[in-house]
Amino acid sequence: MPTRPDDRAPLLQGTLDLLILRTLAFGPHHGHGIALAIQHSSNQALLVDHGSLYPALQRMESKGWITAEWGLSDNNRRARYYELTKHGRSQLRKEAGEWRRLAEAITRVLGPELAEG
Amino acid sequence: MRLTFWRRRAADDFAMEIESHLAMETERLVRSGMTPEDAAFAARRAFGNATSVRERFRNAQPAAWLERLIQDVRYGLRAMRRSPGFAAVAVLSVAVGIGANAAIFATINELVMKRLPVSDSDQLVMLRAVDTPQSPQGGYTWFSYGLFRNFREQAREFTDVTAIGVVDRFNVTLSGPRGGLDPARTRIAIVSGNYFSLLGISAARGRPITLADDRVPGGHPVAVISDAYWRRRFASASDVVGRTLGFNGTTYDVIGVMPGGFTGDWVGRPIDIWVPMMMEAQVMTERPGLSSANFLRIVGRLKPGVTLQQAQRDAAPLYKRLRDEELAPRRLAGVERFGLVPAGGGYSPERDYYGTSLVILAVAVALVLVIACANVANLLLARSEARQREMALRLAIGAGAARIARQLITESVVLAVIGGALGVLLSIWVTGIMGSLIGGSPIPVDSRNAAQPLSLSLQPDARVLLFSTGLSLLTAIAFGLAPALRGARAPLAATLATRGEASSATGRRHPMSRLLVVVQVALSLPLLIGAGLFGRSLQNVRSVDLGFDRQHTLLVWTSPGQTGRQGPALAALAQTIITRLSALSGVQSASVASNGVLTGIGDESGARSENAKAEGATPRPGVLGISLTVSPAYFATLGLRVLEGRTFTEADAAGTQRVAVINETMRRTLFGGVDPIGRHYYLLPRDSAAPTRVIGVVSDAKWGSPRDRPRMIQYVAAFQDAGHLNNMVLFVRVAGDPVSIASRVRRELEAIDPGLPVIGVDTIEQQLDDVLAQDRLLADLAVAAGLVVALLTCLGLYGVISYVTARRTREIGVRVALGASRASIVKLVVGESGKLVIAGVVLGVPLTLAATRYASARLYHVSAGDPLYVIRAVLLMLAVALVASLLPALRASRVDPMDALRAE
Repeated sequence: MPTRPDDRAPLLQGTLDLLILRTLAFGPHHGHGIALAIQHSSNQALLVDHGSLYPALQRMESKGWITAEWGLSDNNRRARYYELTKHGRSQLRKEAGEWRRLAEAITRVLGPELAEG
Repeated sequence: MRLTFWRRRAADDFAMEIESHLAMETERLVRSGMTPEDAAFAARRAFGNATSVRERFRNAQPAAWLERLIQDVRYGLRAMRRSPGFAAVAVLSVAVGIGANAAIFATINELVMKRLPVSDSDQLVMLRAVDTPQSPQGGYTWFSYGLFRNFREQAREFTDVTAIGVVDRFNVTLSGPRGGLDPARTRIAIVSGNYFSLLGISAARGRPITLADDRVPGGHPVAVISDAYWRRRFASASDVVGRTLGFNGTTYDVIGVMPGGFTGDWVGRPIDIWVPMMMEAQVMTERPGLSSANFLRIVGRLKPGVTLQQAQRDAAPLYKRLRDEELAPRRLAGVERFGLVPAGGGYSPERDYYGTSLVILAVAVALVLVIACANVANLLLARSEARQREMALRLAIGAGAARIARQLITESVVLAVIGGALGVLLSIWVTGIMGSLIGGSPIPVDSRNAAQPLSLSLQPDARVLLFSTGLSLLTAIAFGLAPALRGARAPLAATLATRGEASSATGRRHPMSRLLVVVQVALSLPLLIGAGLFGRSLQNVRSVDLGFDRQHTLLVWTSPGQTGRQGPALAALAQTIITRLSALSGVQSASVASNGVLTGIGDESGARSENAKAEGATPRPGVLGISLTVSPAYFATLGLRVLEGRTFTEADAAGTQRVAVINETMRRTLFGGVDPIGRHYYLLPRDSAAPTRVIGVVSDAKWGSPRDRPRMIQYVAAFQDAGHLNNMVLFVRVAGDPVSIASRVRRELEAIDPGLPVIGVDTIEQQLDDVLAQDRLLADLAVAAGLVVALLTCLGLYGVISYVTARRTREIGVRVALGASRASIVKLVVGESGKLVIAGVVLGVPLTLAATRYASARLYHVSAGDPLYVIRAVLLMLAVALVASLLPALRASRVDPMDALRAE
């Protein structure tokens, strides 16, 4: 995908966790599903490197935000399902709030869109 | 923390998850119309670098660092196995460096840093009275029991004051299984009843000696033994309390065993048995009695809040008054300087005596370690060059630069740890040598015993281990950092492209290796020059004319006073011994004296020539006089020259007028230009009633160290006054090697009296060795350090020169192709190494001149700045450079220009 020139934005450092938490808020999912869900819900605007998803999941599992369980997918395939913990939920609230504040602040700094070129 | 943190997830579980992801993605793409092959490829592409993801997974694992460490260590060990020569040199370099430092540190730890295992050791102080600066006990004098008792009663700044005397006995008999007579040296401490309570030490078994055990002279035959003695002599018997031990005709009940950590308060001289002060007369039957003999050390515990200075202000006038009172009957006055010294680290005359030497040695071994580090760093640098391809390859397949640096550091640490462990083993051996060298010094336990090794604890304690470990890690960083930084920076494409050949073809390469060699040479110089200086100094002091023959005489140190003999019985024993030993075949002459040679200890300390009177002359102020009781053949046995008059004969026996032979110095001091023969003198006012008549003058002989100026010696006739023969040294002169007769002399003595304690048998050369212990310590260790650094520098130079030369193969090939001769190539390479050495010398010589000035106090008749030794060291370094570069030079001279150029 990186080889295809398009206008999809690479993920900002640290935002992947937030996206994963948000995706899992709808219910348990496996890694592949999370990747697709992020792409879908961002209208394909966000670029998720599938590979980088798993270390992130692993890290979040260590922190106790999510738990994992092997299960069967819709297509009868073994997959590891992730689920938000209580701790993960509060983390989501916290990170989402932080992100909104940051986005607002940056928007204010940038001001109304300038007419360029 | 949640449980998941601790639950390790298996790596294949993770791999399975990735597999499942790829399968689902492929499936999805196939459904959207791709061919299965394209779909699988695209899925992988979308996933990115699976290896790196797996790596990141591993690193995120809680115990990943340990796994990585083990991996790195294993890798490091494998790398070492691949180049065993390199590994051996590196590990040995580190081992020698660490070993030498750990040994010196252990010695300093033992002598200077360790505290006694007692409560509040900071409050302990010891009385110190110095009579002459060169007092043989390292500036300490002993005190009498009378002085101790009065001091204890009257001193106000102390919680309590205690006294300790130490003697060696050779006739302890034990009761119980495996008991019986023990003819080995047993060290006995005579302590006042408050000794253990003042120190705050309780017994591990039974009870310690208390004040109740110290009331009636001769009335408290009880003994406390050390842990080591209990193990050694009582086989750790659990019923030891209640058993008995006996010596000199008195039997003592064992009442307690001290804990293992406590061996008395004399550093390096562990006590076997403690007995109450009141048993002094029974322990030391050869001494005149409690209150008059000076044989005690006095230790006090300061009251809380009292400083040493306050206590000293209070105690000094008290001591002066007590000392004057004590000396008044002998019409003498105290001349000593009094002071208090901290005693929390225990009593150690060696601490003062060896202070300078230990500092010199500590600096020397630190230099050795730095040089060893430079050496290993150089080896690693050269190797890291050789491994550049490997590193570049690892970088290329995705190892991070930090990972590579960590890998290289781990390899260095592995080297350092193995080297350090070997070094600690080495240090145990070296510490033992240090102990025997230091303990051999002329610091006797009992005033007339032969010297004996200092028992330094050979088991490295926590502090020594910590020191060694810390030092190992420090060295690892010191020598590992440069190669690690270099390794992590390996220029990728260039290195891989050149197939491991030089990336810079100019021959000019990183200055680091050259700099390290220059530093090595510069730091080696002080050690080489020091080795020369101390070696020369030892030779000088050893070859000083002692004034007596040192080749042919055997010394046997005995203590007949311990057999209960006194006065006439001592004289009779001496006569028997002389007759029987003279009759042995091969013996030229045999004699006895109240002291050996080179002991530095006199019978009449306190006597100054100002107090003396000489008939017809005015004595000049002079140094302390020494009185020796000798049998007639003494002068002939030792080879002293008779300058005037005669020496003793059988006629100078008990009841005749007191006569003396004096030495040159005494003749000059007492009589000046007057002919002394037949004239009378007395040394002490108390002798004025019975002055001594001079019958002869003999040549001067060294008394303590060969460094000393001659001292006044008066010789008195053994058969006129045998009172001082309770310790008796036998002199047996033979034609050849005196050691050859030792066993026959021992057998003969056993036949004369099996109960006669034989304290030691040695030769004058051995005695001289003991006296020169400090000189030998410095010379031996300086020479050892010199050899080690010369070897290390040679290796370092060899490594660098071979490496540099190998890198210049092409250049040399070109030179040869253009007509350079083999000889000029050899000169080129050797010159390279010569340049490095000269740079090192230019740096090292001023450094040395600054450093050796500090050592000059310990040098004898050789100047620290003597250019001879500088030149010798420089020549040695140049020789080392030549040796180190010859092999690479010859290799270079055989370079085939075609091969060299083809390698391009």
